[in-house]
Amino acid sequence: MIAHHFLNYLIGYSIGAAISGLFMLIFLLRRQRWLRRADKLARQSNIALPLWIEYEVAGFLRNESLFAWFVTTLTLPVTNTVIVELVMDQNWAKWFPWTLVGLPLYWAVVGYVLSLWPRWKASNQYRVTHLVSRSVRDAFTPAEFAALILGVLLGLALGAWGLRHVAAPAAWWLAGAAAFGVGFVAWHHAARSIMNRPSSASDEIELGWNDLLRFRQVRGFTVTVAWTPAVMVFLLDCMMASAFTRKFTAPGEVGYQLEWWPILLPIVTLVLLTLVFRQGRGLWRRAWLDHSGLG
Amino acid sequence: MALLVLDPMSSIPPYEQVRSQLAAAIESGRLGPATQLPTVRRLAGDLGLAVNTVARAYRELELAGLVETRGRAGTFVAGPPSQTRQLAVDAARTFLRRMRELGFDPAGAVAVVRHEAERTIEPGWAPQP
Repeated sequence: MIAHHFLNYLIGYSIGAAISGLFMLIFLLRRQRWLRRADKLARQSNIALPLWIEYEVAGFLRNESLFAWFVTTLTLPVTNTVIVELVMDQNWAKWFPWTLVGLPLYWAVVGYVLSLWPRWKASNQYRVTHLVSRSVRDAFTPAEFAALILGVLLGLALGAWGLRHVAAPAAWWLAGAAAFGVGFVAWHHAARSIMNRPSSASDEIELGWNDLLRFRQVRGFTVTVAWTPAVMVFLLDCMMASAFTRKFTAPGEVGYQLEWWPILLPIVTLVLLTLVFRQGRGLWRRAWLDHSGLG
Repeated sequence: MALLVLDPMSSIPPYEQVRSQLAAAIESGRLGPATQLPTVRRLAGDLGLAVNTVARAYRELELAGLVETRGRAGTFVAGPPSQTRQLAVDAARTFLRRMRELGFDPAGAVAVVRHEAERTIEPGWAPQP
């Protein structure tokens, strides 16, 4: 029976991976699309994109998406198994605390892995670099930092609600708090590692792109670590509270109606986060100018 | 702009390129006191150099009193020189002017000093701060 269940799961996963892979391939082959994205990023970030660097930037963006797809495909069975088991088993008291404890570190690791590839390559033997080092703090505005802290606090609060709902013993409360602490330490080390990763630039423009892409990676990684656990715990809380459906009774029948707010709320959060984190997109340049005495 | 450029085709050794550009940035005020410099490993990675090459440049800057290492915290641009160090700098400048009049280039002048220091160094002579 277990073998049959596993086989079904494997076939479903393989079909899903093959279809998404096909779409990804079609997506990858459209070179003009990546060139347009590179051009858009250059305009948004107010950085020059000379012809000789255009293909390098477009290739970087394409490889970044390809790697994100690859990592997602690899990690999907893990996340999928957890969610399916949670929904099927309905044994929230058993599953929820384990999921809560695993989420912060899981997203810190996945987020860091996503930043490992691709890397920028200098176009010739000359090397240019900064004379000063920068910290992770340089990559965020105060409002963005507040939004990050809010995400972590929300994750903690939603996790606490879930633990209370399943009447988890005190040890799980401690483990939940410790898990967020471990997630923070993992994020801090990983973010510093990305910031201190050697650059590879042959001139000022290449160095600018190095900085822009590095800041983009640190910012994306940090937002993922701060907010994804909160959103996932919120969805789990909704599942536990049966908030996705509303029971109604009509004469002679009992039915269920889909509730949209638990689905819409994460989407609204995503839109708000996108708006908040727009303001710090140019910070890589300010850090450059500040240290050069031009800012 | 506080950038460091390494020319691999230059006849100037890489450690000297790093040292001279850092020294120029500090002396011109582009790098102010207490500014943290990149770690030796990071700078070596950025420039595609061996760690020892950058470490040598940092060591020479430290001996010249331009930077200071604060343990694990990293390397920082030093504050204004002390009176003793300023007197030492003045003495060095006077010496270099005299050597130039005698026809030595800076490397030759330093070689003479190094040779004399090794030959006549007195036991118990500790470097001044």
